[in-house]
Amino acid sequence: MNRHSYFMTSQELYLTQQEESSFWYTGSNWQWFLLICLVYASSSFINQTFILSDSLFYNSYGEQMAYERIEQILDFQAKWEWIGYAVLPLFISIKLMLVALCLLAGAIWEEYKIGFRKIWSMVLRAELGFAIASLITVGYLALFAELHRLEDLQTFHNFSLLAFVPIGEDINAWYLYPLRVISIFEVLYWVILVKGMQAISKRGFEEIFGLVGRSYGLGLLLWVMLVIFLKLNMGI
Amino acid sequence: MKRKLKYLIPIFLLSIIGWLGWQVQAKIQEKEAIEANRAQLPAFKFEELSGATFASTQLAPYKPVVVMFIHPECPHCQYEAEALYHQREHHQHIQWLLISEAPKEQLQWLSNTYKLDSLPNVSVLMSEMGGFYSFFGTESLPSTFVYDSGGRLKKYFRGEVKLEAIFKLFPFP
Repeated sequence: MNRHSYFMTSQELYLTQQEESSFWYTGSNWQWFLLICLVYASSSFINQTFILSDSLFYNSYGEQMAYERIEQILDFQAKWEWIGYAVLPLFISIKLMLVALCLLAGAIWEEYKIGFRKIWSMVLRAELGFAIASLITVGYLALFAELHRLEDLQTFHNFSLLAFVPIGEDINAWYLYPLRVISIFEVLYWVILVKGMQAISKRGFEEIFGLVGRSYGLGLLLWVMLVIFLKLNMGI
Repeated sequence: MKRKLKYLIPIFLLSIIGWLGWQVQAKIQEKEAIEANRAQLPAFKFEELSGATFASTQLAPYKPVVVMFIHPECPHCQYEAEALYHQREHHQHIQWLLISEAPKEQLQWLSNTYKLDSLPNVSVLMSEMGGFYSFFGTESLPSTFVYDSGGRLKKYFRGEVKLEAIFKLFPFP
């Protein structure tokens, strides 16, 4: 048997060491998951405490609803606020799982030899990009945005294509969601995913860009279509 | 076989996306048509609790009409039903239609509990599933459509609404 089957060459050893010290391999998955949950929980806390103020609700519903009814709704929301934090890890896991499955399908299609575990670890680290984006969004809203009514929040562009589209009276219009999805953060996330897939597959940028487009891109398109479909059919 | 399967998966996914796109397009067109239609009080037919048919032609002419889509189990709808009775002195000039897809027994309960049957200008009506949507384009609970005396849609409220907000739209009875 060849000697190389047993021992790594110095170049292979150098590459393995470099790989293990790169961003995509630092820390354990549990540490990353905890970090991401904490970042999302922090932005949720800022949102609940500094953005979704009582006055925002009174300004929005004061003309339509009785004062004591708004008060009751706010009390109810305050009472059950903890549920939002409790289900956060579950929602994050589902999202990560869907992205990882899309990329795994793409990798299998291209006949790459990458396991789910590696893709899951990469997607977990890439999520930090979106988690930080959520902090930037709430930070911007809390510090700079002029919010008078809840509608101002619902129509906030969040650095997306929504910034270029005049919004009519119907703030529940079906086209607002797809416009909001195409944002600076989404573009950056694609770049992070491509870099991550490149790191774990050792392939060129263009090849991986195509793979991410065909797998994650297709998955995202399916998701957006599904949300629009549900929005129109269920009136949500 | 494996190669065939490889191409079947993306074709299947693209077919789902295409089907969803087609459904979305059809739904948007349907919604636009209903919204254009409801701008003027639509010609509808629903069923009264007595079993008789209630048609829009039975409405008194030149009187404002408020159409509410409700469900007896919805707390916001119960609040509105209660307010209708308590403020009965203030809205005799308005015709109220409380329409629901709930079973008759539940609607009977709502009508009795909040004494709606004692108000001559309030009608509790039953709709078959999807019936209300075909005229008004929504199934949100509660939904309120306020029509002026000429039958033109003055305001659409999504969600709970206090009666004062409706009275404000008709400053003079």
